[in-house]
Amino acid sequence: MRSQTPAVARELCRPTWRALPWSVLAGVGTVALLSVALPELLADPTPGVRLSLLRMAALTCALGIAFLLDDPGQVTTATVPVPRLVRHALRVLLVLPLHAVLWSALLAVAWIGAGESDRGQLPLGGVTVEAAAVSALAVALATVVARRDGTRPGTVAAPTLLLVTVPLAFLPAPLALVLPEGHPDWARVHALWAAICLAAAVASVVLALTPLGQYRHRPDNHRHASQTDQPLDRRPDPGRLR
Amino acid sequence: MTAPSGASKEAARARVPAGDRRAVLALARFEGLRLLRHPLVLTAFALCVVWMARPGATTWRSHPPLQDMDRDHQLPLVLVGFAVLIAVNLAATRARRHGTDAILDALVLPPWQRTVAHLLSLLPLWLVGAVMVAAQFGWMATRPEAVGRGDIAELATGPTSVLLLGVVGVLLARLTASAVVAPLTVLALLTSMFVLAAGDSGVAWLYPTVHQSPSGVPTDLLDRPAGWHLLYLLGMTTLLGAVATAVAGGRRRTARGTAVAALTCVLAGALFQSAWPSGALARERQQATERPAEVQRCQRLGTTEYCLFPEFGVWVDDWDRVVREVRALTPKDVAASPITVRQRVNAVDAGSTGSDGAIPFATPSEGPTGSAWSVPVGTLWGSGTEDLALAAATAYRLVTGEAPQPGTPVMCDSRGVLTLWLAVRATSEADLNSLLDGQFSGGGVPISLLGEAQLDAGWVVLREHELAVVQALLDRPRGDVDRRVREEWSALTAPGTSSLRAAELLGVTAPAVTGDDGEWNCR
Repeated sequence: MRSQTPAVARELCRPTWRALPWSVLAGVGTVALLSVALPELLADPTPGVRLSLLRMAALTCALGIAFLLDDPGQVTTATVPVPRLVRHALRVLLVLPLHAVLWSALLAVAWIGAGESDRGQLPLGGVTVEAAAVSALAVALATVVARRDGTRPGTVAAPTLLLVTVPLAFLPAPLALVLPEGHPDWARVHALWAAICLAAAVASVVLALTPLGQYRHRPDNHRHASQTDQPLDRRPDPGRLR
Repeated sequence: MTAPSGASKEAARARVPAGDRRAVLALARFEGLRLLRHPLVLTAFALCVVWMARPGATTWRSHPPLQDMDRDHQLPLVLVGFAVLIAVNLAATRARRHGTDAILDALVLPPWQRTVAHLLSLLPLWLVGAVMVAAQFGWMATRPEAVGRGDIAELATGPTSVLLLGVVGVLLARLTASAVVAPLTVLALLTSMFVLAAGDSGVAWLYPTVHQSPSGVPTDLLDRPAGWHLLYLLGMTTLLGAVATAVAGGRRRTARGTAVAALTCVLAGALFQSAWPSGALARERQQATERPAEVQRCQRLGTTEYCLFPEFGVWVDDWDRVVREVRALTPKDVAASPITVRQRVNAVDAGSTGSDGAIPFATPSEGPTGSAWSVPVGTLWGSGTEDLALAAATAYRLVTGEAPQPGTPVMCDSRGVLTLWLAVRATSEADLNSLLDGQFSGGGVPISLLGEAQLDAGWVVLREHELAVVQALLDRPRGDVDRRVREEWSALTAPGTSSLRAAELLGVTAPAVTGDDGEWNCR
């Protein structure tokens, strides 16, 4: 069974690409681009405002990512002989290049808008680490929710993402994770952001690997599409647990 | 629901039996309870309570100015409103998501009445918000040191914002069933509210709350269009609710009438609130800033006269305690000299940005020198830095007999040492550490004369060298230093006595003057 996985995954590429939630991704990308570009065109934002706009755009992109695992056709894909991890990873890997292109475009807009004088105050690397962290967090949340309901995890994951990230901006001084450029704690906090990114990525993989039965205690918990996931994932196949 | 089915449209047009009202209320009660128990709403309310009750929150201020505290809850409640927007949107799209709207169409209520029920389900949240606001404000208002007056319109703004944002959620649910639209709207609102409309422009008042506002301005000089803003919010809530009902097929005459009335309220509210600041109070504000004596009342405690804006009367005893402590450290004749403590506020450009906000401490009637110059005290008290500021201002007055000149005077001599030592010794010595936190990068330390919150209103600066002498003095036994200060008072306060000499007179060793110290432009 394991030896067939790469071949099936290759076969899955095209249908997965077609099944991605394109309308959500397109809408979110447009809003993110507008939220950075419009202020540059209409007003001249200060370096601090520009950084905040980039952060909000990163969160907007992550909001789209939270819908990435939405799969109304999950009833059909659940029966393919590949683990959940491969199906999820396929979706993430297919969108990753587009996400990178969109984020580069956002950075480019901010870079051009900043002009010669303000470019020194635009910490592109730092804000990219933050963006990667919130995106990874979105994938992790979607993975958690997808364990219960694989058809529409984004419906729960997206609000949860906001609930987790928006209060971060209001944390008081010693715990603050959202800092102005040039803050003495910048390097320390961004190491923390990188750690959050890594932890979220690892959690996504682990959660996608663990069989659904592992943490279930109630035998009557057969809701929605998760039911269709169970026969496959509960199979006593030691190879899939590695 | 974007396109109600043909049957439900007919149902909407037909005159509904009176029993339907009970069905709407029953559905509203059910949805209201579900909304209250929604994890998103529960978490948001919990975070809001944690924010308001955290140690160091304004809720626990010992001396709350009520005219500022009445809008303290607005920002956290707007964040709760965003959670409600998403939660009610999920509730209103639930049938669509699970493909059960066809089943609901077969039941008693047509889509527009179900929409009305969702709108009504928001009212319990308004109530919860109102209870939270009442509890927080009530706690502050019953403190004996509370001053000023709260505004009922400001208090109602927070809960009404929750209502308005919830109605936006219902409207979005009627326009599209997509689950991404509500969170996306929240992010767009957050961006435009906190990033773009952060200034005090007319646009800012179109958002649920204007959180950047002057603090410490006396109640009568505040002039926020809170009433018009509340009218605007209520109108907006009703208007968007009527639109959501109309989109769902409820186009009866009463709905249209409600919408028109609500639109009138929105326009009136928006128009009048955008006229802020009205300018009507410009003369009074200028008077309070530049010639406060004309509007203040004075009372004498011992040899000190306190002149204050009438509503701050209950703070005089706290001020007097600090002034007495400073006086007690000086020789008898100085301790008995009459001084005036006058409350100062910068109300002219309250809330506007781009001004350094410095107040001329010596008012024209007083002159910059001489015994008539009064000691300034701010309009905030109790956050921990104001008593040090008042002690520093009193010490400055007793040591130099002059008003601080505009342009941040640097005190490079024995008088600087004495002023800071008196201020720190009279209050709490732990305050020296909080002073050091505000150190300039060049090494100097600013001492605000009105407290941290009104830092830009006026300060004096000490070099690191003088600070080191004061630190050395504070490390010595108290009685010994106290005695030496009284004995050497005239030498220490004479202009031209260096801080090295002061250290010698007081029996401590001063560090050498460093290059950084030499760079200060000493007068």
